Amino acid sequence: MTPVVVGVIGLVALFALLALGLPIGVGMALVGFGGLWYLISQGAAIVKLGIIPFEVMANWGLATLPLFLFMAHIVFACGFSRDLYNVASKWLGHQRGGIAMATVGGSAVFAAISASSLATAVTMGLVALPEMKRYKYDPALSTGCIAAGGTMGQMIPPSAGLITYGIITGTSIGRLFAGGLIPGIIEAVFYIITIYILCRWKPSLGPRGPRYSLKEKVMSFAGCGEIVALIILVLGGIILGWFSPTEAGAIGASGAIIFSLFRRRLNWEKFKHALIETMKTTGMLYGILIGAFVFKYFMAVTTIPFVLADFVGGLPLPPLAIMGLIMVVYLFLGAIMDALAMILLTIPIFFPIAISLGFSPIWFGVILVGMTEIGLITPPIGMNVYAISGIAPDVPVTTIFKGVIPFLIADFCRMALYLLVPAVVLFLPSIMIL
Amino acid sequence: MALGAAFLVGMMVLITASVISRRAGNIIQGIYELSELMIVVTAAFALGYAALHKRHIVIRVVVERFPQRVQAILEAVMSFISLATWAMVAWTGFLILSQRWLNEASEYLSVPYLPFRLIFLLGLVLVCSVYLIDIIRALRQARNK
Repeated sequence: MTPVVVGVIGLVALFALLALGLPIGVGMALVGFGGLWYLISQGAAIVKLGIIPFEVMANWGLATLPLFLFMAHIVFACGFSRDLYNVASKWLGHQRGGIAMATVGGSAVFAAISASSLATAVTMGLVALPEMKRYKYDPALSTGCIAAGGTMGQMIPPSAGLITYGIITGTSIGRLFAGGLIPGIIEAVFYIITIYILCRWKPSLGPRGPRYSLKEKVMSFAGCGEIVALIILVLGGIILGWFSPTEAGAIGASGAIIFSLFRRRLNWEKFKHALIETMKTTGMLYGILIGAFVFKYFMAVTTIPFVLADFVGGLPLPPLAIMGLIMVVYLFLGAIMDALAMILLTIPIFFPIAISLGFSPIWFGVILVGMTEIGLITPPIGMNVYAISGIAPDVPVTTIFKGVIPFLIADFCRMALYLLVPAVVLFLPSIMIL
Repeated sequence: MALGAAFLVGMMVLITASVISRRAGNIIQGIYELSELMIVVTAAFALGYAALHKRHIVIRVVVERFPQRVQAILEAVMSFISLATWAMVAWTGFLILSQRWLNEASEYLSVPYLPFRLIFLLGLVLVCSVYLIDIIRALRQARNK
């Protein structure tokens, strides 16, 4: 059998095992190990499996993940998410659909603390849903904007998707973070415009909230001003080259603890809870990453990525059209797969293609993460939609999916913008000092 | 788990202190390699802890359509495959450790790797234990349904 055939059999076996309920990390490690054994030798497979897991764990770049997770869990446990939402609500709430816009704004700020979409959606959902219910917002709009707004956790740094992409492809995480910032802000703006258009078209969807004086608006920062400052310090520090993303994670977590203690919001129970949640998510991420690294070596040995890159490169299509096709593949994969699994499974195949077509690795990382965001809200497996359904049991899942549709249209528009104007993604990384 | 969490907090403090010190003009050497070893302790215990709380990502959309008894049998089989895979990772890790890495130490501070490699193996043994319990539980469920 040729390596390519072995690779295809490996991929089919992997998808079959995953469909039968094997944990994704285990599936990738097992198929990768078996494939390396068959294609190279028993000895080579044993050496790879013996070396890779420890190397993945003892990785400075990957330490970014648990540190940022810890920061987010501290901020969440101490209730700062409510204060962040309150700031957005006081500034935007008096507009038509303003409380939904505030939810998107709050989600964008919380996304700058949280590395995960699901955490952003659930955290903001718990705070914003009761508010929107109180002001008689349309259930489809209120749940839809939270599900879509939550996806920004994936794009706005720190982002678990960008970190794992950076580690697997050897792309600078700091530059990826810089690359995700402007697209993340554009995403929030597009969502807010979507809400504005919807509520202009049908005002009953999002009635106006109360209007606050300028003093009250400014005072709203009193509850969480230091957390906003911490976000600016952490992200700004990375872009200005003051510290690496891992160091930024440590500073973010330390800062969150210090500010929470200063505000007397952090006690031993909350601290313990934040640590426990961080450990659970950390274990999940390392489990999948160990498998992904073994699988990546197997894929390289099968030569599938290079054969595919050659084939795609020879197609009589311009690179942008090929990238458009890759995005369509991601759209379908995202509809049936977990975001992280999708990134890790497809990078060994699509990354070499993107590079051979002349695209920047930073730009492709942001595009890939953007597509996983869309996958989080498309049926049948829109994880964010199910998460919101869990905290809004009175709203049918179909209503939430319906509410998400206008935001999906906004998503397609912004993805087209990143595709056609790469400078949107690449401007900040290009001016970075490090 | 507590040890892993303690190392995470320790790493956070160490890195923060090193950044502050560097900004003040004093570079603390060896933080990078020390952090890489500390995170091994965190990740090793986190791996088992995530398994214990069923946090490892599984695609359930197909399995959920099967009858409950079949689901329980499948869970037992998948837990067995998971156990075998992690046991293989531990075994290959041990094999290479005993052949190559007994006297390995970090470059700058000369911290011996051995304790961290042993903790890594201990973490894998914990993961395997969790899956062993899962197999027994799933088989019991299959029998009762």
